[in-house]
Amino acid sequence: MASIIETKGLTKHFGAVRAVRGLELTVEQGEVFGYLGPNGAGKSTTIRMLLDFIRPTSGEARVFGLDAQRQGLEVRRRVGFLSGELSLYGSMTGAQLLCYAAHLRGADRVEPAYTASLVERFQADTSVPLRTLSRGNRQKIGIVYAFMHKPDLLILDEPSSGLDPLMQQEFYRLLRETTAEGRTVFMSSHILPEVEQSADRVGIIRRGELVTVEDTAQLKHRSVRRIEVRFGSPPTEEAVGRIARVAGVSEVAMADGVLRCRHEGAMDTFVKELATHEVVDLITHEPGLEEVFLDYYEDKGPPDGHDAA
Amino acid sequence: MDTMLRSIALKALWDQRRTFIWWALGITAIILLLVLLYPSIRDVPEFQQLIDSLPEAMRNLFLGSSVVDFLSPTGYLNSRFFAFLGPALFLVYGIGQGVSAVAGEEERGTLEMVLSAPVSRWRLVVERFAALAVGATLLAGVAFVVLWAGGAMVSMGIAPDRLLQACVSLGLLTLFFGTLALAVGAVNGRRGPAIGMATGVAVAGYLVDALAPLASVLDALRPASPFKYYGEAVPLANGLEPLHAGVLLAGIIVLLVVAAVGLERRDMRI
Repeated sequence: MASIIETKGLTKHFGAVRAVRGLELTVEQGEVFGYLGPNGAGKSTTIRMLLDFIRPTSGEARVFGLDAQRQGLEVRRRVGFLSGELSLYGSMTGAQLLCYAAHLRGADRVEPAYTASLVERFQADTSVPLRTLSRGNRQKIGIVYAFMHKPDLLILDEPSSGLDPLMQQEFYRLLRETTAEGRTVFMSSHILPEVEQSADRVGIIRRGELVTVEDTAQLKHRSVRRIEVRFGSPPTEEAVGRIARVAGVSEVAMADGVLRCRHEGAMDTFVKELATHEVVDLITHEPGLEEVFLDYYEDKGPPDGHDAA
Repeated sequence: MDTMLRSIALKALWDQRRTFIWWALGITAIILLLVLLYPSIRDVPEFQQLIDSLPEAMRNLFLGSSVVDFLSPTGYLNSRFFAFLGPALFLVYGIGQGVSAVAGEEERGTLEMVLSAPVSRWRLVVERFAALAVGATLLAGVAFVVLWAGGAMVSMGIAPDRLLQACVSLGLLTLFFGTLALAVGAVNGRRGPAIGMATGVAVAGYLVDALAPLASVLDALRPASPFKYYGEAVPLANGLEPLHAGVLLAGIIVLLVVAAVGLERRDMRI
């Protein structure tokens, strides 16, 4: 398998701010790579270097084996980009914008029928000026813009933000079709579930440094959830003790008939233990990204240095 | 409509269509007012006396320093339009367009979409410059047509070729300052410095040129002022001075190269 994106020691400083530091990243052909990190971690800075909007302080970025800076034009010919801060020409309609985009990419490289099918699929309104559209509806135009020329690599910055859940599912389906055709997706996000839904591998970036790269399944396995259980009748102290001894459970607290705890890993044993009681309500809070990061902190300690812009 | 979306340059022209129409209407109205007032002003000799009584500095600032006979058709058009009002209006238009060419789009973030496509930065600069040049040419063309037609209405009898050359000179000056604004915006990425720099150079250049006959210091600085190459030779009376037009044209090309190189080398603010 060929590497579609490869960075070596990729570093970007903005003055004293070290936005990206010594990034070693490899994205393989045909995968969805989730690039996960809190706001300001350096995700967008990385993406902007891949697209040659900004130049590395040191190190290099290669896309399709080409130098992202010196051969940037060749690279961008084969890339579809969706910005995290989508700014579209407000006075143009979606149809006009997509027409303009097709010409910028070379009109012979874009199939109007495929563009139309994407528009229909996402129910994008292409007939009104873009400034009159809601955030989510503009995002749909942005998605069509990124995918319309069937690029070999999609670079998507927070792609599903603003989309309603139905459209998000449609979007994830589109990602799967894309990779099924051997094309590649590099997708940034600061929301773990977004990445979990669609990515094959996840790279976690924190303060400009790549903390880890893992298969999504592994990440899920070690994911931490906060759980609340409301029982029909309060369980005995002994029963609570049994629940607390289940592997992966910690920080158990019982108050007002509600059991609160922290759970890590697969839930089977835990659920079966709960099932021996009358459960009125079960609430699990999706693991926050910060909580996932805390795991890494505990292992490695927080890296020093400045936060990225 | 779709035709206008075929390239960056065509789209830039399409985007400024409304702006341009308003400018064309405004320029037309102002020129017609000036020209149609000419017969009544010509027949009032007190105007010449009034102008003669003005301090020289003020006369130079607002009526130009080159023509003395303000009531001849050429002197009238030159002092009332080509010396001050025309360049002032055209430069506001040219600088506005030059600023929005790169810096304006960069600040709004729309450049991101353009540059994520296989579009090189120098191509962006060249296409936006082309649109700027077409706009400046068209507006100068409007001025020419209205001046010529209005002049004919009141029988001013100005030679059309002289008028055309004066309008070409005005178009070149407009393009020079528009390209200056484009270049500062391309090097810096912000609208503020582009507007400030272009306007500052225009005001300083104008003052130096207009007041040069009064002070030897300013006279020494005059070759540095773009306005020298626009109006010193008075194209309306004497025709376009090729050397002067060449200096403006060379300046435009230098600024274009600065814009392309500057944009190519820096980090985008998108």
